[in-house]
Amino acid sequence: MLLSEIETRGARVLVAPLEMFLLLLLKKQCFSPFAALGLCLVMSSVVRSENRVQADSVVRELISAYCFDCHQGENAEASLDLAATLDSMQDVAKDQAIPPDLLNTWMRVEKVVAQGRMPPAEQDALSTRDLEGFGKWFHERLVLRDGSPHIGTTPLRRLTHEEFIASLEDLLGIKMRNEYNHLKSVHVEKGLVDRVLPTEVPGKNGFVNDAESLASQPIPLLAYMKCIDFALSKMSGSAASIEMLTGVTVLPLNLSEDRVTKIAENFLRRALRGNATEEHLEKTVGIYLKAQKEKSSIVAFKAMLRTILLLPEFYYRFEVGRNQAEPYRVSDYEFATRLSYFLTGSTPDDELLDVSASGTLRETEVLDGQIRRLMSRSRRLSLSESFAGQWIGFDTLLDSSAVDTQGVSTTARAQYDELLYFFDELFKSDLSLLDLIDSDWMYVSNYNINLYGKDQFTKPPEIKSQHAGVLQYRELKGNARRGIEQIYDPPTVRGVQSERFGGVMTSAGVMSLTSAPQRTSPVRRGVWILDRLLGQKLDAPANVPPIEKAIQSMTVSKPGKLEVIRAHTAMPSCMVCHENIDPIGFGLENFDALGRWRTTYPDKSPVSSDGTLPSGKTFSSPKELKQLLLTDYRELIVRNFIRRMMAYAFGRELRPHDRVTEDLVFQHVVKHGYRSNSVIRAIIESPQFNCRQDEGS
Amino acid sequence: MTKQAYLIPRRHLLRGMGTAALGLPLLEIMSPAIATASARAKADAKVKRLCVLYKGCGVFPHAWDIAGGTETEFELSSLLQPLDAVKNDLLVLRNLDHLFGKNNGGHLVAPSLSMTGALPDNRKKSYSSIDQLVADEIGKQTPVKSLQLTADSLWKQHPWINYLSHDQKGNPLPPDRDPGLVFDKLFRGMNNSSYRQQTKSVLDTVRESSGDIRRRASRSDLAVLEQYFQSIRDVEQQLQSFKNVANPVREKKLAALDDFSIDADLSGKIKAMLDLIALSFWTDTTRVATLMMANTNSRCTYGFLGLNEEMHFMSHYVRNRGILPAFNRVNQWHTAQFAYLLAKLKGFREGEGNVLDNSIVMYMSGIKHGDYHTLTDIPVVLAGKGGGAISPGRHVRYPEPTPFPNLLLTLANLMGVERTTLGDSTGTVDGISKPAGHPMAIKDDGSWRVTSDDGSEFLAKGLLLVSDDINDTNAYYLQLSDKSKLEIRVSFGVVHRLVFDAKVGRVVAIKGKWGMRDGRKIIASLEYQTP
Repeated sequence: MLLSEIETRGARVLVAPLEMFLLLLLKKQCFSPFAALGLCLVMSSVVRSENRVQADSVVRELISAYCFDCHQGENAEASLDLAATLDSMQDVAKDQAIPPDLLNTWMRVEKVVAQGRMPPAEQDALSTRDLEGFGKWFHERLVLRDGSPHIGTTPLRRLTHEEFIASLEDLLGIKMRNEYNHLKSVHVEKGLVDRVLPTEVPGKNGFVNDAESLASQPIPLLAYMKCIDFALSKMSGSAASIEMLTGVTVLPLNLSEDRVTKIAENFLRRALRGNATEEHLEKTVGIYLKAQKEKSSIVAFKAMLRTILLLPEFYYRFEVGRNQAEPYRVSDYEFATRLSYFLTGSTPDDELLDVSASGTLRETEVLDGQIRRLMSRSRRLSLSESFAGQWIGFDTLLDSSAVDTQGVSTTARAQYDELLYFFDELFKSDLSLLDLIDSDWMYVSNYNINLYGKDQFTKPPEIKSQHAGVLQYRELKGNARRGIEQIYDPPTVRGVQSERFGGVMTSAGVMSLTSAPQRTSPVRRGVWILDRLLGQKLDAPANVPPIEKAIQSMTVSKPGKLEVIRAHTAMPSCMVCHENIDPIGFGLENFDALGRWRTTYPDKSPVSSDGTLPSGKTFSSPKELKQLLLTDYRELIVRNFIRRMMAYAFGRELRPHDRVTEDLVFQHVVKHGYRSNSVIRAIIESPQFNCRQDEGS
Repeated sequence: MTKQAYLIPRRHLLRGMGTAALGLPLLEIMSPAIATASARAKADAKVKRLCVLYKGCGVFPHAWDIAGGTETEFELSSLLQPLDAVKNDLLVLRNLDHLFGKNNGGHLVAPSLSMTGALPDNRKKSYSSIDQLVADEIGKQTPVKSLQLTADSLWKQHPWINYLSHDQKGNPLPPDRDPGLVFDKLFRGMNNSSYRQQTKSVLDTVRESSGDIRRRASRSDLAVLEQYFQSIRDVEQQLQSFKNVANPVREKKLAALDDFSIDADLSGKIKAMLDLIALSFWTDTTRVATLMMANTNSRCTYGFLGLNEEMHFMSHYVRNRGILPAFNRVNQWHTAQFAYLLAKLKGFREGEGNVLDNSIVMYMSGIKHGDYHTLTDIPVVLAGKGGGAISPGRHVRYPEPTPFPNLLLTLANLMGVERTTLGDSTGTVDGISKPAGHPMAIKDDGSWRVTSDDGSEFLAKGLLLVSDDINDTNAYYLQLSDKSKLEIRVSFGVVHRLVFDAKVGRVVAIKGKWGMRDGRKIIASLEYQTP
């Protein structure tokens, strides 16, 4: 980022005024907001039911010319019969969603065509005109539905473990995890909740909050119960918690039915986020009254809360359905729940619930104010921890189960914190997304600074706060610090003055998580950058030919490691992907497995960071690689960030129909100088975030 | 009289009963404790168990394969050496292939292939793992239907490599990772009746107040919500099953269990998990268990063996021959863990025999060659008698390549699952319950010997083998009919040119030259002769 940009930011306005089209979208009360959206569609041609047939027959001509030779009939290559696939398009009624299998097939086709992998090299390539024709057809038939944008079926979302824990903590006013420990000699220990809950698997959206993936994993009810009991025991030991829940610090021997009803009503409203019913109230009060006859009021109180916390309305972000295939706006409570879990990873707080009840939440000023407020809560850290952590993959730095050490080392913990603080700064100070690739500031840990070289850094830019505010609980100051010898120091922000560092790509955390324990892996690094930063996900190779074939073909008698990999991947079947992967990975060879700068390998041979990008441009240092990425791949990088965040916010894999929103968010973000908060704001404004859509009747 | 005796470790006896108990000839817990006739009849029926131990990343085939011998007379290979003490409990199987006829399907799907007999995307057909098929059949008779454990971390980019167990819908069952919590789950918690009572009443209330959410949910959301109500029913059922099996014998066994201590490193974790499997089989808490010791793309390191490279990295040893001894050592260590479990199960007496006699333990890796990811001749060893279903102490080599799913089907049938297909199976395999009499591929006809020798050059015929010493991967041997072995030490270039990798385990005729190394006579160079 340029210094002038930092200076002009001054007051740090969190959200800039939104574009007209996005506002229009929300203002529409009866739901036809896409008419407003339609104004901005790049491709505005509209296909109505009567000419669907015609559109399909035009594209059929095109596809038959290029593809049918191989992809037709029973023995079609790759079992892909495009003639039959085209036929099935006609079977879909005009207002029906395209069946997932059919959609997947077309997405596959589009991907290989767009990447130029099909038709294969020895066949005629698609002419520019035909490529456009196919793209247009794809947009009309698979992005739009009957000529209009839509948002696809909204899935029911279960809380992730992190959301579950955060919600319990906020509802009960407790902390379920140990304080982040202050001693650097002590390893980060996993608490009960982390051990008891099964590991969650990321779904197709790349995050553990993927609704479909959560629905396919067994519900760990017994583990939930264990966590709830643990939480309730913490609650009953805290006067502040009891006061928050009941208004008194010590529960009297008996609570009158009126009092209990009031307490239960309030807790039900908070825990079920506006979905509580009379039946819930009656049943839970009943539990208290019954239990109190035999046991103390605190035991009875816990029994009541335990029951409420096991209701499905707590585990699921339930939204009232209409079985309606047209998108419709969700209620303010439902919207508040989406907002709260997106920005803070936790249940809506009292103020947000009150605003939802008042019906003003979606007024622009009110919404802006609430977003600003939520982003100043310490829970906003979930954006860095859960969203960025899983996207970048730095969450794995704290995952020690793969290695047989006693826990996480100070080095790994510092690497984790450097990235965590970086992202929190990015969101908190609304910095440019381009800082992800290269920045003139970064967070550096005292423990690792000697690895990087102290002379690489300057004093921090004036504008930055010393620490990302919400993380202050990780610091001990003054009296608390006295007497503790080896206290853990969180990283601090510094200016970057050398060509080596800046951005997340060359951070020690990323360099280390893309390496094996004792050596770097250019291939892992190349794959990581292509996938995580550019959004070019590659499938794992199914069939790796033996390396001997490559060695045999080599002219050098004693090939080095890199030469062998280069020769290996020079085989035609490997080249297809590796010609994109390797140059990028080799470009980072100046960083060793711990992120230290090096100019020679352990065997004294010199490191070369020369490489070529798929665009054909060459670079000779990590810095030049970053510059090229920022110039040639900027849109790809920004769009990838947007897509990742949309997928995280919606809790599902993106589908073609989401491209309309992606384009609009992209336009908005470009206008706002790639500010991180402009992505957040535009996603919150999107129809996907405001509405739901069912499968229809 | 049928003896239904359970062996309680003596120290528990001392601690639990006090010294006064000493000298009593037969304590009740050590003698038949099952009073009624019907209960005894039920207990007498063989209680069978199934355990699967999986270690990913394949092996160095020549160190795994047993070369020579007959079905019943054979020597264990170097990687199987740790199993020597329990050799008579083993059934080593050869020539079983995954993805029959379509080799090299990629190692990422190996756990699925090994457990379900099919590729993960074949869900629509039948995609249930063998342990779950068996658990669906016999799991209801125990408090816990089945146990899924992993000692490895989760590989988030390719989730399917983490799972051994899949339910009937094809959904993977996430394994437990913390042995301490598994101990509590199996032997504490639900075994307590007031805990059961309390839990049941909470769940009843939750179920009773679900009318509203059901009414307001969209159809697809309702389907997801039903899973939640199903999980409530499952827990209620589990509460019931813990209640049903409450009996004095089991309770005394549970009371006798020490609290559990676990070493933090990988070896401690795996040992603890094997202990849990053994204890849960002995106390009849579950009869089905799976353990992933290392997944198929494992980043585990083995610092306690002095090896700091990742498992998966070590498995790619072809271009990195120097790593091979390390890879062998890890594989041998894994076999030793298998041996540990077998010894443990043998230590628990049950009826006339021991728990291993009533169990089938399957040990396998999903691929054969660690580097090439070959899916032929999969490394798999069975152990135990499965209550008479298996006759062990043998080495069976199927004469023709045989689909691996056929073994899964056979074992499922032996465990009481009645079905005719499993994954891509084409039938069952023989040689499991009784000797098959299949000939070995290599038969010593007495002609393996040195036929001419002028002191420097010689002609010989014999069986080409790798070194027994897994650390000495540069040595090869020519085994003769008189069981003597001629040491071969040639440069890697020669090994490569003569394609030893393909010839090991086969009979070769050679023309060689003698040499000396450290005072030993060795074969210093050789060429093949056409026999």
